[in-house]
Amino acid sequence: MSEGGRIPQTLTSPAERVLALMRRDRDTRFSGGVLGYVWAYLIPFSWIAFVVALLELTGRPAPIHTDPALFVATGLLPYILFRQTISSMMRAAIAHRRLLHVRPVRLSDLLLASAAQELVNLAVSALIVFGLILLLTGAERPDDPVRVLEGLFLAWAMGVGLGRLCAVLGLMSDLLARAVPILLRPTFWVSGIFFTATELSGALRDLLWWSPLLHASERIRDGWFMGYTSPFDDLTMLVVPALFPWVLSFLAEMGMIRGRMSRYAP
Amino acid sequence: MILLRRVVLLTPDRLGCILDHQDLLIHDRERVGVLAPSGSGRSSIARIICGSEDPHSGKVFRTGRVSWPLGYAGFLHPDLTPRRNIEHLCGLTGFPPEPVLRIASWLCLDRSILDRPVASLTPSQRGLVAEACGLGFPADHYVADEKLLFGKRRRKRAARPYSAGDCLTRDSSSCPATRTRSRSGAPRYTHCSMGVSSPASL
Repeated sequence: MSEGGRIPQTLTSPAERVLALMRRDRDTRFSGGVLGYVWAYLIPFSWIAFVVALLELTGRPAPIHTDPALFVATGLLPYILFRQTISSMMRAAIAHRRLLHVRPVRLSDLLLASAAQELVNLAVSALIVFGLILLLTGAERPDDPVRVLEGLFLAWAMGVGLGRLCAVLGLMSDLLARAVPILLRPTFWVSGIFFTATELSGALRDLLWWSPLLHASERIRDGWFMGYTSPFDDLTMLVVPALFPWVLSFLAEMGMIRGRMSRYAP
Repeated sequence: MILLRRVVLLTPDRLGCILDHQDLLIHDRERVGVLAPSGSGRSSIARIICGSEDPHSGKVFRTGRVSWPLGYAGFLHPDLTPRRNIEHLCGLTGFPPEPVLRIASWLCLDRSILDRPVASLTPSQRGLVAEACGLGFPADHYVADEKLLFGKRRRKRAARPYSAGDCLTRDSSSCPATRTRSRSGAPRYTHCSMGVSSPASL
């Protein structure tokens, strides 16, 4: 441990720190409640049940010939993954900021751990949700599982990129921290939870081409349903919205540290 | 050794200067106190030495590991027990939990404290746990951002080796840097002390 009588500043690798933070997050998030961490998995279930019930009540059939729950799940899971990752990273930056006293923990460690934990949570949720739907309804299995995983992963990556930027900006501005959930609310309606791109009229389709989340859900449906071919098949619309805010977040973080603009004292 | 080289630290409103191109050298096994009135930036200096805050300009050099400010309880999660908190901190720092827990339980005296949620502890118990956490983790330099308070006589007796610097120090290490408001306490517990004055105190 000691090197020349000294203790090194860093004994852990970034990966070890991220894993340790994930373990702490598992222990502390939802702690004290009756169901504890089960809440993390119940949230996607409740969302899917709510939207399926809404479709049933309005009498709208699934646009693709399949079970409505499976159709909703293929649109809702990437959306939840995107939104939950952003919320979780913003929360982690503020709630866990005191761990920054424990050197060598850095803001990047807190944010990455939070994002990774969301990916694990949603991966488990997706396995349970899709598994149950397939088991109970006998719906079709994914035609191209790799494409389905690509869609889910890129939705998460977009959440990581935007979440990191929002988390850093949220440390500087309370207004922005409060505004982000409101600004992101419309994404629920344009992410293809209730519809597919093939259903859209020309002008609307051109407009929603700019919705990266719709590209993600279309990619998943294109990969899952054998008879469905999505007109939205542009990887750039998924990679650029993930990378651009992610790179921008590092510039914002550098500016925040140099200008000491964080609204929280260390 | 900790060296501050031409360090500038401004007040939060950036109108005043807490440290103005300050040089400071803390040798191994040396105890240094910062004597200053409230609100003049003692905690900021402690954070700069610990590395959890960067100065506005200037350089800080550290050899070996510097503790976080002793007595800092901000990272103790209220729903977890001190034992679980320490285990998580060990995961983050890479130290094995057993020796840290051993020192922490010895300092706390009442070992049941370690197995109760932090939220259920009294403020003085929380403070004690925070100090025990800080002292349990090995470091070459310890920085105390609070008066180290052990309360009852029995605890004071148990803590005496710590305040004497015998147990805190490693082979070639320095003793804790501390901060205080007490003019009499500074020379009693430190080898040397530095005064900080702020515009508010003048």
